[in-house]
Amino acid sequence: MDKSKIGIISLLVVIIGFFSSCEEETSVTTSLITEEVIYLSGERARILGRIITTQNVEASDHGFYISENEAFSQPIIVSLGERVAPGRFIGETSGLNIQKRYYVKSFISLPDGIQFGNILEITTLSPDAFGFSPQNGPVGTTITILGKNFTSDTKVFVGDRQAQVLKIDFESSITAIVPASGTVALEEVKVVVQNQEILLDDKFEYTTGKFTQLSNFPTGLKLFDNIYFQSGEEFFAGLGANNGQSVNSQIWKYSLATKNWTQVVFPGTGLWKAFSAGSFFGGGARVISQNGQSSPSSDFWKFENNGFVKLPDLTFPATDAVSFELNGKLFVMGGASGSGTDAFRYTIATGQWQKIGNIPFAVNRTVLNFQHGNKQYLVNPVSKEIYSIDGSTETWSFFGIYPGDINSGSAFGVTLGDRVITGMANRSQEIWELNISTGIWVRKNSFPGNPIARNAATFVHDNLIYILRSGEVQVPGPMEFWVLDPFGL
Amino acid sequence: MLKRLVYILFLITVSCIEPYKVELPEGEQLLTVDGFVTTEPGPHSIRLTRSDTYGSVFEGLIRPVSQASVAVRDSEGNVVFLAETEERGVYETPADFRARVGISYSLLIELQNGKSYTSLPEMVNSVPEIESLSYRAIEIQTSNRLQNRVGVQIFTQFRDPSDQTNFYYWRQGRGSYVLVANPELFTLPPDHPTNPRGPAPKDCCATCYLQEQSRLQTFSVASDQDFNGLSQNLPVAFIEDDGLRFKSMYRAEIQQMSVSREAHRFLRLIDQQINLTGSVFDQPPANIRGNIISLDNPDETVLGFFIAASVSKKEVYIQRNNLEVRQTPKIIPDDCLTVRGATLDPPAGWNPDN
Repeated sequence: MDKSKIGIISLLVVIIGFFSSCEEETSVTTSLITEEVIYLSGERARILGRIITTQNVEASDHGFYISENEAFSQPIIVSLGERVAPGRFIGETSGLNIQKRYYVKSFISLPDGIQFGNILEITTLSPDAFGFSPQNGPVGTTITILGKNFTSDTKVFVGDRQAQVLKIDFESSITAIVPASGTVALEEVKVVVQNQEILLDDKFEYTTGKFTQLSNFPTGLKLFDNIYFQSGEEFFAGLGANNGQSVNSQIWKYSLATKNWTQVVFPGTGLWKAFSAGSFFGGGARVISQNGQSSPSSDFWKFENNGFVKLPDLTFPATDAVSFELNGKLFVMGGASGSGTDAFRYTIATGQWQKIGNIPFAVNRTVLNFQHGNKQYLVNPVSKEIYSIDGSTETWSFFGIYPGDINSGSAFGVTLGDRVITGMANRSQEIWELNISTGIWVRKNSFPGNPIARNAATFVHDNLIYILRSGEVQVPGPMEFWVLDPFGL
Repeated sequence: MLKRLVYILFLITVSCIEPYKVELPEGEQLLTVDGFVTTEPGPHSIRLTRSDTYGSVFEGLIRPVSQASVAVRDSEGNVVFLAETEERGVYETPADFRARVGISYSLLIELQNGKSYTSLPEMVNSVPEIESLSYRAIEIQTSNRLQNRVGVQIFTQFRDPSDQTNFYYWRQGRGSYVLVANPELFTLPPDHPTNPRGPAPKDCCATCYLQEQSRLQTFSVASDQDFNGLSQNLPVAFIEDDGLRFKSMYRAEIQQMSVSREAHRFLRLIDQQINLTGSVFDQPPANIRGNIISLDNPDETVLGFFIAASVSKKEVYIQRNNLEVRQTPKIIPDDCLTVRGATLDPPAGWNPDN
């Protein structure tokens, strides 16, 4: 063999050796980390995992295993499905039990088997409820309960009745509807999270006020601008205008004993917009007029011993005036004459009338007023300011602001102990209760009947308020008779 | 030959210059979260906005994200709801809310479109008290050889605890200063009918107080890996002398916060980005990953960071006489009350003698 062949062969061997050098296979490892629990509550855990590698993965599934034991037997599997790209992933479960220890690990299903990340230990949180608002209201009130770690199956109870849970925001705010009331107004509020009961410190107070409709008025008479008074268990209403269109001279009586309306004999003539207070009534007009000043009546009557007694005539016009008995005196104020601020006092013992100082604002017979102790309270129909007049000194003082509807008047005001019940002004269904000791007003259950009517008469017996209602002119039908149990549920 | 030369010259003069248009890709409107809760009394605010395409300010506006449900939840499950303020996109905690040391906090966001976001939990670590603050005037060279930047550098002295790893973040509170004017130099306006530009000295007022209305927030960050357990004296703030601030006395407030490792990293990268000078050695600008995650799409880029931190605050009164270098003072030839925001009453807590 010549040297040139040896040289070529050697060169070929070198070249083959050079180009046929082995390519070492590099194996790419995939790391899986259970990074962090980024959200943990009573039932929910949100876990962050991360796949760390330099190339795409061909994972048929990835996610997390959650188990009550470290061996991960019977785990909750949070499956996030296929995965190609490395990076972060978040898994969430909401099927955990409160105050329980769990173990969490991430997983990834690769072609060569399932790979797990590190194990984290978590303990789910305990729920708590801090308070709720509003703390009073009628059936159906929407309340908000603030707390923490409420689970999705959290239940709310008012008393022993379950409330409808509308929503739970951020597991810390429950919106629920107050269920039907029980037998008491003040009820405990309880939150049940899984099987843990949390009793709130404050109680929910149902607004009270139960209306019952009695038999309608027996005739088609609809009293407007009428008088009414009460004698024991007998309620009287009459005069005024029938349906607001013709002067009425009838007076009717309702007996609590017989539960019937009967007409009584009234020896006088019809009076429109007369005043009535206690057992006294009078004034008004004999005809209906626009300004109420035509044909004023000076009649003055008292009901006693089941009969009507005519007293000496009034010395002043008293059409559309408000009146009340206070401290052995009858007061008649405002009305259609003058500027509506004149005030007169009738001393019952002496039978003497006397003009007294004017009232601070104009009033008429529809003004909301109520009595407590030796004071009569009148509500300014324009500003809703409440002023009281002292029965002894006859001085006025400011009390507060009325929170309810005044509309065009005719709201009733009844005092029962230290509570004043008011409401049902024209076209209003609102009822309010004033704690006269604290000056705090609270809403009561609204009047459930037709608001297109006005109060024709109000009577009180045995802590029940009886209200005779006349539908407005355009509303057909007889007068309705309702009874309100102001503290009933 | 001359003809050819003329043709060539003609061609040169009529050759067109085609302007080079830079085509910027349409930027995503990324949700941006900015805010923190601290151990100070509230309210603490979180701002939600949407980023827009980089370029002229007219190409897109940074839009506030309004009517979102925003809440801060702690590691015990307590949730505080944030209410949107009159400034759209800004949500505030109740005034009685303050973060607690040892508790971690997460920000929860639900947008109107139903998308939900959460921050990673941020642990509130204790922060060492600022023992004292000191300051000195410094002069910084600029590209303009005739005008260097002059200002005051504030140093904080504190002892770093040795038993824990600390990451510090310093911010400036709202500064306030004595505004010195020269009402005796007031002159009538040039269009005055009888005495244009004539002297008309005013009796009042030469000194007022002014609170800084809005200033770009500067901050500093540090980790204790180089000084764990040691007493420190670190420069944490620089207040530029604009010719008015240091004419008499300036009150600076330094807030020293202890933040998480992740927050420190985020702030350090932000610091790097905002200090880019445009040189070839600068790091390329980039979106910095924050700690907000979309629960609907974990790969969605959300900008910003939710920080929970404990705070130590201290004030320092900077006196003009203690400054070695100062900017040439600006003259206000008028009543100092004519400066917007100036008042005769000192700001709350003004007590330079303390």
